Amino acid sequence: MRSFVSNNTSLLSIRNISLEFRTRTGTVHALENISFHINPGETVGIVGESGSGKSVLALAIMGILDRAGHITAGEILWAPNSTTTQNLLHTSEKAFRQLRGKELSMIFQNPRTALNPIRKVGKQIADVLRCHTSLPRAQLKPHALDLLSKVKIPDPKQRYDAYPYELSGGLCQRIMIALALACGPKLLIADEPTTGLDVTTQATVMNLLKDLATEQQMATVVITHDLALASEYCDRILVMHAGHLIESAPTRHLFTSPRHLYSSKLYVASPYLLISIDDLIPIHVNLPDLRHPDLPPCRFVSRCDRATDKCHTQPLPQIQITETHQVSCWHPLGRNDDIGMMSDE
Amino acid sequence: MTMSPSQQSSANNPSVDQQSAWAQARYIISENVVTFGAFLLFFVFVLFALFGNAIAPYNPLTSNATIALSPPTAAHWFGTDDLGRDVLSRVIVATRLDLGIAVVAVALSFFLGSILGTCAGYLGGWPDRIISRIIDTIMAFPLFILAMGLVAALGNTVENIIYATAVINLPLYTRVVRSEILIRRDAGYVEAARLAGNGPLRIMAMHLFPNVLPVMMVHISLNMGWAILNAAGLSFIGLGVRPPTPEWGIMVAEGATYIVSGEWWLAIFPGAILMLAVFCFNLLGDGLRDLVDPRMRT
Amino acid sequence: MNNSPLLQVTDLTKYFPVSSRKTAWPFGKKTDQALHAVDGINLTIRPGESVGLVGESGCGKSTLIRVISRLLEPTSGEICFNNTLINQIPVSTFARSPYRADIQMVFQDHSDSLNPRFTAFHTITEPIKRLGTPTKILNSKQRLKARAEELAEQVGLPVELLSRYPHQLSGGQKARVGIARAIALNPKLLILDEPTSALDVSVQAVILRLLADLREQLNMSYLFISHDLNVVRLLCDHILVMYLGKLVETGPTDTIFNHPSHPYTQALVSAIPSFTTQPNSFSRLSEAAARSPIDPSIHVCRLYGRCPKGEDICQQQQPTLQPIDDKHQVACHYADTPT
Repeated sequence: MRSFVSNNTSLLSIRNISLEFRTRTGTVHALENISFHINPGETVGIVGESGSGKSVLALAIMGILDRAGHITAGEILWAPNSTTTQNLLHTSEKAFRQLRGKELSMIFQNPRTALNPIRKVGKQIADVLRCHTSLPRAQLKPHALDLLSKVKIPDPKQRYDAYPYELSGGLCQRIMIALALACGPKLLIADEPTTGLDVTTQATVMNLLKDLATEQQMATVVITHDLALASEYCDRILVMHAGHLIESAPTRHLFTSPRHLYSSKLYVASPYLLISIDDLIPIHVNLPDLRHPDLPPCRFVSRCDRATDKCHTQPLPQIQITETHQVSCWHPLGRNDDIGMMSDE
Repeated sequence: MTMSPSQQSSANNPSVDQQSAWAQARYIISENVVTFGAFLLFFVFVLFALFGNAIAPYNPLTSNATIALSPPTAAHWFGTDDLGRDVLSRVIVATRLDLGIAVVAVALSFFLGSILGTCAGYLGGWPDRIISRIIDTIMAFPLFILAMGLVAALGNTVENIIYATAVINLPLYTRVVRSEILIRRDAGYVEAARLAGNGPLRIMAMHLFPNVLPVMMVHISLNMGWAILNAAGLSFIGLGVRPPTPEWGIMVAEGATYIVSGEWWLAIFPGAILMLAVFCFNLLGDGLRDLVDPRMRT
Repeated sequence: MNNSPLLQVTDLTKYFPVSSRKTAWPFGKKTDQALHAVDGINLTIRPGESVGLVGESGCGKSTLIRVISRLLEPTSGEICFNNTLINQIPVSTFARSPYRADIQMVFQDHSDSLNPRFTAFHTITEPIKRLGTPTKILNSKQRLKARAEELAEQVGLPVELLSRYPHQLSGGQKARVGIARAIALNPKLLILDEPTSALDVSVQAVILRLLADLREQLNMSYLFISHDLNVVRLLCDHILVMYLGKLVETGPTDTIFNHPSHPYTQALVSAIPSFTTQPNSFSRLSEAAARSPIDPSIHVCRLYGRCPKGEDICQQQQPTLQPIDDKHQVACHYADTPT
């Protein structure tokens, strides 16, 4: 672990990450040249379709990638305080285990399958506490009960002894949140936390996450395919497409003036804004095959009606629309005379 | 819900995986050398079973007292037994009987067990209770003893060995099929089949059972190994096959007495081939499942 | 246009027996209880109408549609389809009745609803082979193939995918296969059990458009189940809101969306994430657990305990569906009346 004084205020810096999967049928270029940062305390949404690479990115950050996954370039810098920075890719598994659950946490999509089915949920929380804190054994249960009431589980004493199969999806998700937040991490990654939950439960879970994040001053990354969800709960949104980060902007800006054609299409394809079914415009044409050895530099060309020769030959630019709004496109939407066109070459 | 990258890509690219069944089989075999080896061995055994009499260098029944109990030589690769018969020839010819007994017994119990298991699993209620209690009763007995008892009661013939083996084998198939059907009984495609106008019989036979088949392939293959051992075991203790018919179990039994006096080849070679046959079938089970289950074809 | 309803459900109930013992055998007395999955539902669907059924998981909507589509026997009540009391045809023989082909279903879990050992072609043509009239099966192989290709085109499934197995298809493609199978026999009533909730938002859009187009082309009635009001809003003319086995509010889509009267409906409407609202602004149900559906009291309102409103009368007299407007009905003592 290399430590050096950093004047970077970011909690987590992803720099030029590329990732591939080596499979029987070819190498899948799952991520290419991804760069972004997360600041302490903010809520960032990563939005994209299935196959866009958002979940894989989360797994890479947490260091729990599949054996077939290889990070071929870039670094992931973790700076929990202003004095130390470490590259997570160069961290040994042993050291990483100290971080996971304690400073970096993750909650998963299907809460019932993410919990151990044969262990009482209260015990599972106590396990996390035992692993990462030096609490004496007698203190484990009271602390766990405290966490259960923090995530607003009714009747914590009774639920402590429950098994996951006895609880509803919403309750299981709250248990997962309690597990993830047990040691007060600085960063929580939530991978599709509300998929499969009812609309009312979705709202309660997301509000809970938001409240806890503010209270514990925790940064949250919400990964979802639901643009409306991200828009309601996140300060900033990163839009991913086929392994590329194509746009990143504060939520309001992305909503009022998306600069990438894909982002604007995502909004129009979402049922939430629309009045009638005729307003719904699906995005036709499928995602490109990421195993193809000769992928064009912009992977959206096949679905884009603004593409020109430049898009087929030149590597993707990083255009700064404003200080906080970036887009990776040669022909972004909106006015062409924007301030600060900055290429990433 | 989310598809892996390779899955989504294959959904868009037919050329990558719409290969013929033969090409896929070749690919799977090339991926698993061990399975390929097991396949080759299996074909060798089948050859022996079908053409044993033609392949064997000597007549397995001809005795020649002058060369009795001679160790392995160039002329007799596996040596000769106490009556001067060539052990190699006897081993080769015995394949037909051992394999034959095993195949028929397993086929019988698979057929009957599948029907019983599917009915018990899908219909539930009284059919399930009755069938399960029958199976439990069979399983209450130590199975080998039960087989012995059946053969002793029915008569000491090869057919009865087959029936006895099939009976004691029944619980395995019934139970496995029943639990596999139970898992799938409430699946969406079963409801869809009912909506499409299928009656219970069609659903059991055409919709549910084919999904259970891949799992059964492994069981069948492992079971074959067990069935061969079972048949050999019964013959070893003198039930079923009678001398001078060559059969691995009998040969081991007869050769056992000679090990002490140093003529190891009478028992070791049949025993080794027996072991090889069981080993071969075990390896085969896994390879077969790869071919049969469409989900493994990626 | 024929004004008699296509489907009329009267007082439908479905109870599941639940036995429990207070203490271990043999000392405890065994008490027989019943889980009231569906408790007195009335609904009507006219030919060509699209009705949405909304409620959270556990409210009984899955059970309701399985009773209506004759996969389950009701405990009591009547189901009148095309002027015939189909509840009198037992479930075991319904597969052979002439009405089987007219009521079909699209499932929620598209992977689970396709037989892993059937190709898409086999899945789609199965209902035709089983229920198609003799003239349709004449010249079986060519006609079947032609019909399958016709259906594939109708649902936007590339014809070459017909020979594929489910594990070789994407989520959206599997959804299309399920839809093709359901419309293969031109059913009069198509029941859709959350068909898009397992799909990506972008794929959802495609499938929803497809469903809207198909309804027009084939003149079917829809009974569309969802826990997501937004999706239902785009496809349905009329909405039924269900809670713990009972209907709490029914009305035209716009009315339900813009003027929800029942506290539960209000909570549902405001829980929908939207680009414009701020978080924490929705009318909340309390964090208390929902009432048990096992032997519920006939006096207490099912929402009592979670409801933001709630007075003594809610515990003494269970509210019933009362009309508050033309076609708008609510079951609540304190329903918001339209301004």
